Amino acid sequence: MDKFIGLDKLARFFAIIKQNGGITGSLFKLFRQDDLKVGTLVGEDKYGNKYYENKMYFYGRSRWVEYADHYFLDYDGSQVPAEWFGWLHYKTDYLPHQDPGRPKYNWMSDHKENMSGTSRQYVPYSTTPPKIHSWVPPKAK
Amino acid sequence: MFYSKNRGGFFERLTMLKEAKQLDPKTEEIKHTGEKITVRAYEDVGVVSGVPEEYFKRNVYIGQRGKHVMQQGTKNSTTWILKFDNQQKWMNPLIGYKSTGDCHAYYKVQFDRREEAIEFARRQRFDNCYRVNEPHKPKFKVKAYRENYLDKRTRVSTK
Amino acid sequence: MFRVPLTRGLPSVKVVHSSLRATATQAPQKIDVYIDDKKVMVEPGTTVLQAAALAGVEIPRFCYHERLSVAGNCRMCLVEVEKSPKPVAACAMPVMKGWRIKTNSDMTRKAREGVMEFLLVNHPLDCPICDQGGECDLQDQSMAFGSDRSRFTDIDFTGKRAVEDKDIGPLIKTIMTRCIHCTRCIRFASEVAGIDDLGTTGRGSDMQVGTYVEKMFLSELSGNIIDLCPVGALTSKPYAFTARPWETRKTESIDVHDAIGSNIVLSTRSGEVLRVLPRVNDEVNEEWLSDKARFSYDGLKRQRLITPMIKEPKTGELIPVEWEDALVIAGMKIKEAGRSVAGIAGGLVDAEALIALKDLLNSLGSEAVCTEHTYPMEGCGTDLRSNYLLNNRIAGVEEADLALLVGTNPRFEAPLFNSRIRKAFIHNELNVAVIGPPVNLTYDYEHLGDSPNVLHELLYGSHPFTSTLMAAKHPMIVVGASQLERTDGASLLAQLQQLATTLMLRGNIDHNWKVLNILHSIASQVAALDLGYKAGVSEIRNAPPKVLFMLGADEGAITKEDLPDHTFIIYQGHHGDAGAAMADVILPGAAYTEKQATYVNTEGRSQQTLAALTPPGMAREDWKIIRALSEIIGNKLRYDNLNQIRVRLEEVSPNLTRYGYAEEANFTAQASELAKNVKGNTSSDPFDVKLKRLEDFFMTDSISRASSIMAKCVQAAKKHRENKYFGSQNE
Repeated sequence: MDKFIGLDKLARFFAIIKQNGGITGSLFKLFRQDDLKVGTLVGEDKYGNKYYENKMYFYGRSRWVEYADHYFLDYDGSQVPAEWFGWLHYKTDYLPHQDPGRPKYNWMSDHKENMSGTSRQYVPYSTTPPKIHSWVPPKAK
Repeated sequence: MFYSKNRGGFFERLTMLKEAKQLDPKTEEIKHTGEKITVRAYEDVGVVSGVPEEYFKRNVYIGQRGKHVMQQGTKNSTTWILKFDNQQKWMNPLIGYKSTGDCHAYYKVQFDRREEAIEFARRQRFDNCYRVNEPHKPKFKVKAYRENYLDKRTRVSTK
Repeated sequence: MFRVPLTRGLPSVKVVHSSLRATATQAPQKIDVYIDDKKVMVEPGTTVLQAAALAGVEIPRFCYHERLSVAGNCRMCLVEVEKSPKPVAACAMPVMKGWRIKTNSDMTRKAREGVMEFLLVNHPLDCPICDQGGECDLQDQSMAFGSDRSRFTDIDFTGKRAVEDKDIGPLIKTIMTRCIHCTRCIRFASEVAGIDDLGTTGRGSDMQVGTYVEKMFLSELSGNIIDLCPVGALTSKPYAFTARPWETRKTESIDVHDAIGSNIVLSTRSGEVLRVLPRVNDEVNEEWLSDKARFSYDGLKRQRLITPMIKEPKTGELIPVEWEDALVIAGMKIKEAGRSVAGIAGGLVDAEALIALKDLLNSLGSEAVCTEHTYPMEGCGTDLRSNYLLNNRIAGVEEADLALLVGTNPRFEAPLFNSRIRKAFIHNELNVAVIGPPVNLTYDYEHLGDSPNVLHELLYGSHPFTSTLMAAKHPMIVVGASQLERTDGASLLAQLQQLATTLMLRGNIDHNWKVLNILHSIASQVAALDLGYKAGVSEIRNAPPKVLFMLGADEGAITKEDLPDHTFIIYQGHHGDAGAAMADVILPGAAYTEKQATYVNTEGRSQQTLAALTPPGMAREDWKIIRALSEIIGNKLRYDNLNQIRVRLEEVSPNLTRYGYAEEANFTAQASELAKNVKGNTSSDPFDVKLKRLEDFFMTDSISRASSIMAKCVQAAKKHRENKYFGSQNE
């Protein structure tokens, strides 16, 4: 009956509003992410990104990430670390901390996001020796 | 050919060409070597050639290559070559190749005779034209094998 | 439109027939020969190969070279002569009247093919890794005249001939397996370089070209055997594996390492000079080039000034700045100094920069524009050109019958002038006498002593050599310019002029024959004197200016100690050397490979370099920098482009823009007359020359001092001295 008159949609609407932190919180999230969803928080990575899952949404939209607040509007896909990438893209159903086959070594470095387009972007350095060697003035005594 | 901004539009060019004709009414007959066709040519082709203005101000060199000292052959050593000066190049930082934005960097026109080269330069309005490197013909000196044995100061211990 | 009238001084192209008709009446009678049925009139004694060349037919050759004696051992030049049963070697056979020579007959072609086959039996097939590839006579001639298939089967039995490589120094790489025994290098060494180090050992297929004993081939002209080698047996060590000849751009230019002004070709690719080759000019360098000119090009890539710099007042360190800052500071200081500005021009500066600096300083009211090297200003000083030129010309040595070298070592001061003297010594029986230190000149000479008193004795006839000198028809006195830098230089010059006049006034001399010759060793000196520079820095030393403009002055004529602390030094040049180290502002200029500029050689021949590259970094052409500076100071110079500055050069000294020609200087008598006013006596200190040994020769200017190849040469020359086979002729 609820379904028939659409009350379930209304209920979900309130659930979404509730989960996303009330009206102000929801408006803020809508502003940041252009989307409001409800789901189970399945984990959080060391950078503060939160990962949700809700099988109610269809495959492809049922897993998502909410980027840490400090990114504000500067979030992008490369901020998802490698261990969460697989789960997020349905390569595996294991969550990173539950995956038995996932190697863990001390030498594994931290995830780095793509800095292209910023001042910290990677610029290739010259691999050619300079053709002209300039004179280096002698140091003053 | 007629789109260069700084050289005026099509009709302007035509008038320029007309004026050029009037200023210098004598049209020249150029006979190309080895050809039978006679070409009527006007003095100043530079006016209508479509070459940007700044190219006319560049230094142009006309010269012969001369004999290559590493070899005995003399082919190409007497051809007259017209070429432009060198412009700034920059180095590709990754692999060190040199690049240039100069379309005339490898421009080289060859002529059989000096006069043809000069005529070409004049007609193209290459104003800063330098004549360079006219190889000096060695003096003819009779050589003889017997000189090796003449009582001169040549013959020495080795060989 | 054309800077130089294009018709001026064209080499008159002689059509063989017409010129022959004109001279047909003269002795010796010319004889007619037929090259491929084409009639040629030639002098008797002409070889078949030369006659063919006159007819425009090139005969292939390996051992024959125009500037060396005839060896006749490669047999590549075999041609058929009608009615002769065997082919003849064209390079050694004099033509006979009426001979019909066939340079393209079946017999000729077969002979060439046979010779080529034998040569290739003993030559490795390593063209892909050979540095001669692309400019190899053997490669080209095997393409043109060789067989199209191989019959070589000995590879299965004894194998190819292999010869051990020699170590003959840091400049020449040897791959002796490639040698075809043309003996050109041997002939060059013994005839032109005058070093009998190379020769052959063994016979037949065991023959080897080498130095007999383990020693280096060290000569100031050694690089030329690389050019002479028709195959890849002798190649350039610094150039090894860097480029193929078709990849490089060639720019015709002029060498500035000595005052000869050798004509060179710069091979460049991707912004660097890869090698320097000589260019044929019979009046200057023939076909040779000195090792310093040929191999010091790597100095152009080191120690370069590529940004303007200013000295930071607090730390006293030179820091790179923008052009604007450097020019503004330099301009400000010059403005403040008012008339108390002086300029010194160094040895590698071109005429355009010289005139720009002189015009700038003159416009500020300063007359103190000096050259680094002193020249006596007494008498007529540098007002008459005959006073400071090699008046007989370099090629004039070949007409001379006696050369008196006073206080000079032409072998290292001007190697190509020395090779001319040696050529004349060998072929024209030139007698040479030397006053000065008894250096090895590669030819025999009469040593008259090393004291200037000998000149006095010669002048007054008390010296035994006087009679020989007076009997000479075409005597030449060659004075090293460095001797005139002595304190008694003026009276020395006066004495020499007197001696020259005495010789000229004798009855048995040609009126056009000049006697006195000054041999400079600095490329910029003649142009500077032509433009009215004061020779020597004594004026600056006596009255130190507030601002000193050093234009490439690196020889230490003025040091920091000579100047008070408040003197502001502006250095403009291309290398960080002595001059840059003491400067307050550095303006980076262009080296000789990077500008189109005028240089005048010691005989007064003005020649121009062309820009093979652009100046590195922020460096600019020298005259343009001075022109920019003049605008900042507010005394704008009147020229904006090369044409205009050359018009200005022509105003001051018209000979400077007559490129390729040595202008006559004719006032020798007047110069000598004026020289009589010179006061002072000649001291009896013996003459001394700076460059005595080979190791002194390699590093003489800021470019060659920066060159690591030259440094290797110096080391090799020193090491060579310790070799037990180092003989007196290597001294």
